[in-house]
Amino acid sequence: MKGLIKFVTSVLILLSSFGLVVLWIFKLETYFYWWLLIVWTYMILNLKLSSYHTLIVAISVFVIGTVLATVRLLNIAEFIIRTSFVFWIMGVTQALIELKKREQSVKADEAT
Amino acid sequence: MSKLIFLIPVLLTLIWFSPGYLMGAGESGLPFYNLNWQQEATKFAWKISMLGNTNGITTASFPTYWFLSRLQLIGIPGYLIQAFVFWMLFTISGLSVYLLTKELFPSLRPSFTVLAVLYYWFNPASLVNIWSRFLNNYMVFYALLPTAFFLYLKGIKAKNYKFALLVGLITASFSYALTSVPFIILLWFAFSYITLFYILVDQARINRFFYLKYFVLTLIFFTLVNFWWLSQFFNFIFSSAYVDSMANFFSSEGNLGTLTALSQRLGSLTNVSLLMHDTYFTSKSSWSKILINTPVIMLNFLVTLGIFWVILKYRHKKEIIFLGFLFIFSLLLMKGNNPPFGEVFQYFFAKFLFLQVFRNPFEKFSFIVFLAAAPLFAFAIEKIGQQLNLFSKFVYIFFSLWVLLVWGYPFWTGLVFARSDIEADRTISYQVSVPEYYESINRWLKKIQEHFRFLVLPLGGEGMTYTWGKSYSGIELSSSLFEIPNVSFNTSIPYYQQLVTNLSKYQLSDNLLYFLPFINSKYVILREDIDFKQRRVSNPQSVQKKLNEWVSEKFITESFQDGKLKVYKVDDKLFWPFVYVTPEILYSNETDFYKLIAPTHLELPNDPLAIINSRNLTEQKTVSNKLVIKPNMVYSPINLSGINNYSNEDLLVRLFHAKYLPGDIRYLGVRIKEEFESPSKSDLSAWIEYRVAILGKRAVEIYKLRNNNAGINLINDTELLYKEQLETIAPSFIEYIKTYNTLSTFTMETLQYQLLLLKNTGSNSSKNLKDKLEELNILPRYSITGTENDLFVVNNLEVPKSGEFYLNVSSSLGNREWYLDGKRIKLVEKDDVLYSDKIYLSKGLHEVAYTSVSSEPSTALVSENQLSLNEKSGYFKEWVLPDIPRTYKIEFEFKFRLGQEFAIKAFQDIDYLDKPVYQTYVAKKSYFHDWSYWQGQFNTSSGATKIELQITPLERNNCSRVWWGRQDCKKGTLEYEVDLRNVRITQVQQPDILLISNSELSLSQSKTIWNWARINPSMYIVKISKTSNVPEILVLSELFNSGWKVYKVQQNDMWENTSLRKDWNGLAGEYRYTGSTYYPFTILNREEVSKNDHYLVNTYANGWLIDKPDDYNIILEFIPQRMLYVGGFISILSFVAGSIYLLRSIYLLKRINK
Repeated sequence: MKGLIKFVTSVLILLSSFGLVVLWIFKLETYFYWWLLIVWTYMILNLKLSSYHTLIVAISVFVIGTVLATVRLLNIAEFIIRTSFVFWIMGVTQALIELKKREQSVKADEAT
Repeated sequence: MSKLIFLIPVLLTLIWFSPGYLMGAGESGLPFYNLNWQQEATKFAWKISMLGNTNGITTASFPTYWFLSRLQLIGIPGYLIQAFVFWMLFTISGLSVYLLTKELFPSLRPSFTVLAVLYYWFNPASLVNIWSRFLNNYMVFYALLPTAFFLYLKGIKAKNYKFALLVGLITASFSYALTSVPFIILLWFAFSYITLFYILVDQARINRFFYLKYFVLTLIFFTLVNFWWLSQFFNFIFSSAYVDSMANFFSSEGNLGTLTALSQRLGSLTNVSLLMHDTYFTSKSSWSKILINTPVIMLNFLVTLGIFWVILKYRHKKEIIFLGFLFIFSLLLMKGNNPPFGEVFQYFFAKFLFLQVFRNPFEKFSFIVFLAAAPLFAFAIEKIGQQLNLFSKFVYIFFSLWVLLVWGYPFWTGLVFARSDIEADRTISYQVSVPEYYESINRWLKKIQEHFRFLVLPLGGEGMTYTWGKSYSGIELSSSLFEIPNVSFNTSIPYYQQLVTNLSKYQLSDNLLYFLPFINSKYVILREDIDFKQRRVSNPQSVQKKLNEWVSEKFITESFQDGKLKVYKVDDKLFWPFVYVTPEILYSNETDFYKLIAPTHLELPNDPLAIINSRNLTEQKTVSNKLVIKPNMVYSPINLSGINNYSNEDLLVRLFHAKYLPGDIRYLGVRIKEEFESPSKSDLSAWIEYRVAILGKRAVEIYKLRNNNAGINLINDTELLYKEQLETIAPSFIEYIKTYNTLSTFTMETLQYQLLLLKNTGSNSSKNLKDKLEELNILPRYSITGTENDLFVVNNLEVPKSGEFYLNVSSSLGNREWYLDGKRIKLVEKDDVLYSDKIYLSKGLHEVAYTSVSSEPSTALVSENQLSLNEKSGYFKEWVLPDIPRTYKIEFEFKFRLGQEFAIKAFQDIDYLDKPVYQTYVAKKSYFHDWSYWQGQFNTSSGATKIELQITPLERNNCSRVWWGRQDCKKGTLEYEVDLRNVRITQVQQPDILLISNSELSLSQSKTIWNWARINPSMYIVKISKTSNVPEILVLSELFNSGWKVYKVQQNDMWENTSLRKDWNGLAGEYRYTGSTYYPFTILNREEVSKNDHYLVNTYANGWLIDKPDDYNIILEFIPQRMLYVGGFISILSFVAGSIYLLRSIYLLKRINK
């Protein structure tokens, strides 16, 4: 079953990547971030990625964006930084959910 | 270290205010100049400044002005009070950020906690959005937000309801900040976030319930202590003023357009993550040059990176996630509807009207961003230092100095309070010194014991630049400098704007005299201390010339002069009182008093008139037979005769191709693709063009289905779809026309083609489209028989009551054909005015059309047969302008010999440096290099006397960037050689068409005697002795508002007849009001008169019908004032009770501790 999920995930990512190229060609950048949100959420759920994974991607992508911005490649830098913000908002949301779960388990421990 | 929180503000205010000047700029004006007048102006629900207006939410500023005015009254100069306020705001914001950081990170060392304060004070967003912007309510909110946030959070964490009371008391004390709706929303956004976060994270049910109760208690107490201004705010929402504002100045599409434009300009996430305001930082101001270069940007990125790193590293800490989530979420809001996920922002923005106050999200959400970022920054620096161990001190010192000195540079140098004049390459401080002659004129005017207004000339828009020793540039100040109501600028207030727009175009014309009685202007003040070119208003010398003419004609007399201000008294014949009763009534929708009165041969009105808006006229109820109607819509309809001969094939090639028709399995895909490719509605122009083109495709589908003999159901479904799509687009047409006057040629043509195609097909949709186009004034309702070359101008006239009328056309248009409701009529010329015969017109919409001849015989101002121009020899032509603004059309044929472009500019004698009134460029066509036709049109400004048309080379910036990131630009001109022929400049003739009822206005003087007194700005008292049955109108010359009511009262002891008071022409009564200022409030025995007869009169004022003979003691009352009294009482009571309760709690706690 796990193998099937991974297979389906891979196929979806592949198809989506193809879709991404199409979106990029047709200047439909705005759909890319939604695509990223969906795909990454899917990956979080299926690959059990933690907030750490999301946030580390966010900060790495952000660093790339800042380097490009400082060398005045502003258009591509903006795209990269926007991408990093998709990860940031997902990362902090995940961290918030993790915090809630931790508090729940602490409360459960206290109860037992 | 924490002493710095007090010390730094002291040093800063010393630097800023030690020269002893007030500071003023932008929309806040100069309130510290006369604080007592500010508190007087905000004390009541109604303010008398300009033509009067409701105070609404600005009543929230009253306690602050009241407190500060006490300081001014004991002799403390305004600049010291301003310095005190600035010090206080800096200190309170610093202290609260310090306490907030301490609350969230108790283990943080004080030296690091202070870093949060420095970040909050000096970050680039607060530099621009709060301090450089210089809006007082923004500054106060800057202090209120961290204070309220800290106290609310403290209450949540301590689970103590007393903090809810404290939050309420703080918001009431800082109520000045809440004069802006977005700040109320932001404050509650912050409280809601804290509550939701703790409800989500805390697992104890009892705690969750507490958080909810705490929130509700805060809301209740907030409402109670702020009830005085909340009541005014909600009163405004439900008043006619709000409805009128929404109708005149509010458009969801317009707001969406603004949001999109600002998001694109300021919402780049690269800049947002640096808290950098793109416009300010690229404006080349003296400080932006330092903060915009590459090394500084790199280090600024490090600051943001530090905050992000701490979110990543310490994401398990509750406080980090609490602030981190708020920080990132607010950054995403700050970028507006830009990607990523801008659609969500846009959805809520469009769906909830109250959110449209966030048209500039960068500015508004930045408050939340730096509030969340400040503690995170301090925490990050400590943790980064700990990670780097050996370099920890270096990291601390480096970032402290970075924030304090580099970010703080504009603060320490005072450049934050300066604007850059790029053209003149200079920096102008916000420091202002108001010349003493303003105080002298104000004193002189106040000595006149009468109620009146005055007109200030030259008159411009909202902004004004004064050339004082320490100059001022910002919102026009006359309402702050003088304690007498005056008309000195134009602004977007319903009715006021319409009147002042009409008035200001006559600044150099005698026509202005027609306006003076209506606005109760007893004086005209000429000011010579303004930078008229900067603001493109009349040259004071030109105005002086006109005023001298009026002096010699005895319309005005010179009364007083001091410094650069001259006061002229208006002749008594041209002055009407604020309150009067008149039987001279006419109905009209014309808002230009000159255009209305001059054609009806009334000349300058000696007797007060009441012009009732014709929307109040019905067949059943009439108080006057005189009716003057102007067109409510003038448009050039699409001319179908030109394409009537087009074959269906001709039309099909001009519309979108429809390959797959309804019924085909691929049709669904086509429809999905259409939706997918649709531009966003935020670009209304592109959206309309796309949707109209798609509508054309539907028309083609109907045509093809009918031709293919498809099933009737399929055809009907497609017709229905066409109708639905048409209904969806139509409202946007109205919005678009509201902004741009007409639809684009592409849209008009596409609609034209599909109408004809549908007509040829015999489709029902052609009727739908025709009806809609008529409704939208794109097609005339009555068909006009003309040739295919004829272009028509159609005037829609809404006749409210059937009767006999004649047409009056004020300017000669040469030989034209005239039509009324599609039938040709003849107009006779007499003294340059065209008249029609008497015509009977029924109630309803009528159309007057005339041929718009494109080439008038020899009316060109300038006519050149042949010109050869290049970058060395341009074309310059000057001509004298009439005293009223006009529209000019320039047209020629051109052929380039060299180069690609040249510029056309029109400079008036009141235009500033490089800002011509008209500027465009002509470019070589890429596909056609022979003679091409070009035309352009421009309007001249009010007050201009001369204009010069220039054809010159186009200027371009040649920019290069030095290695460390700074961009240097130099202006250069582009080479060109061009031949022009048939150059013509013509004045565009726009006739004034009026439909005038065929009955005379009776000019009998009223026998009714009246007298009046202003009790306070929201209440007038009037005594009327009316002896006849003749209907009369009681006029109150305050801005129309449904909140004004008329009550008849029984008391007679309010008046005494000992003193003769001649308000106007001796017609006013002989009584003087002797009651107290608040006396009428105690009168309970009142009866509302003319409940349903409250009219908009004189285009802006209030009027009530008085028709029965009687002795009236009348109170004119602005009803929301009652709510203000009640609200004030509730607020004071709640504030005192809350304070006593908290003080008692503290006292008891101390006793227990002892």
